[in-house]
Amino acid sequence: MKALEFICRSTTFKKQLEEIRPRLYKVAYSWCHAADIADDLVQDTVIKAIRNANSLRDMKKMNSWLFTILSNCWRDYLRKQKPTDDIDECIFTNDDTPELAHERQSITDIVQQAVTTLPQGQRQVLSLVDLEGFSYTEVAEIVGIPMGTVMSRLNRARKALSEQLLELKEQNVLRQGTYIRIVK
Amino acid sequence: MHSKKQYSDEHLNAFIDNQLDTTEKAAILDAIRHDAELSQRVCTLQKLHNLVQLTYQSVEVPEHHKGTRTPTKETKYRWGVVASFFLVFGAIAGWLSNQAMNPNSLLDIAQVTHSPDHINNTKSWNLMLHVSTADPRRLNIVLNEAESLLAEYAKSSLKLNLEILTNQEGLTLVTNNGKAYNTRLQNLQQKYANLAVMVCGETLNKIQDAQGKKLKLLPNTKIVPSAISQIADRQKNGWSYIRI
Repeated sequence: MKALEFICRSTTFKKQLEEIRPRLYKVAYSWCHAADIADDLVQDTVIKAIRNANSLRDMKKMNSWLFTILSNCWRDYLRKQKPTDDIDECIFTNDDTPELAHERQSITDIVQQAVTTLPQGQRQVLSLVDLEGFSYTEVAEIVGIPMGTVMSRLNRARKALSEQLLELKEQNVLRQGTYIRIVK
Repeated sequence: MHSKKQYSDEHLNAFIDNQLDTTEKAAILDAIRHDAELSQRVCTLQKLHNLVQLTYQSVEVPEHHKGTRTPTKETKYRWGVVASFFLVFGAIAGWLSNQAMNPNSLLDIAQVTHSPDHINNTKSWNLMLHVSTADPRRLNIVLNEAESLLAEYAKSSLKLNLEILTNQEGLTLVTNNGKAYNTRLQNLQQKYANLAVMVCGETLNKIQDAQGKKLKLLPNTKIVPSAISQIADRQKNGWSYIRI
């Protein structure tokens, strides 16, 4: 019976892991905004999850458990990149160029651009709540911060995002305005 | 006049993210109806939430991270071998079980033995239903089968003696937890005198020792020394036995 349980658990584990993988990628992408880094982060998460599968006691918690691993992988990545900075307050540089700005027309690009300007800690909380629909308690567990901090980071993120979007929208409208030509 | 309450942004975020209880949610919804400014704030937050969601929904996930991967030739071959093994194993198991079981919806999960005495005895039928699991589906099957058999035999001239024997996790059925199946069993016991409910004394002692307290059993539950000895005894005396 134990062998059967083990086989069933192992199959469920693999199936769920496959199902959650695309979501892990999207959240990882929302944190780093770079396809190759998101790819590495998800690969690392999957490897760690398989290696530590035994530490997951309750299969119902697999979702938040995987995102906790992803969060830790992201933390490790940031530590390697900027060892002296406070990772929670680290703001990503916006490598914007006129060419890129020209390409950005859609609303999704504008929102992504606005999200990149958010401090890392705020961006992480925002994506876990908005993309994955985790409760504040779950986010606190995944990121390893108190629930009050989750709430304040989320609030600051949304406030900043709102201001950013308003600003970007105005810029975009102005930029689009320059393309209007009257043809006689 | 509706008094205005000041809601913090954190509170409104919690409202948008469905983190508040029903009372708090209702209070905010009511306040929104009377306060245009508050309504605007909530609307902006909701819009932001939707925008972020929409933005990252369009992110293209690389093929190797997608859940539905096309199986390679190697995996197809491996699954083929596993499938053939199970097909052969299933066929043998099915043929073997068919020798002892009649096709019936209940019997696909039950183990059945009939004594030769039962086949010859046409005046009464002695049947034991044995349950050792807490799976509600199986507990309900026991009750469904018992109920229909008791009802059927009550109408006929034949006599039915039915015993439901519980051991291991099956004790859930007779432990007075106020669950629907507990009540159902109690009702059946009250209605039919030919239904006896039994519990394995060994399992009961083990659970009571582990929990350090006495288990509250349903009234009229008889404690037998051990489930195995009870089954052996009944089979020796010509009872039919079905394990569910």
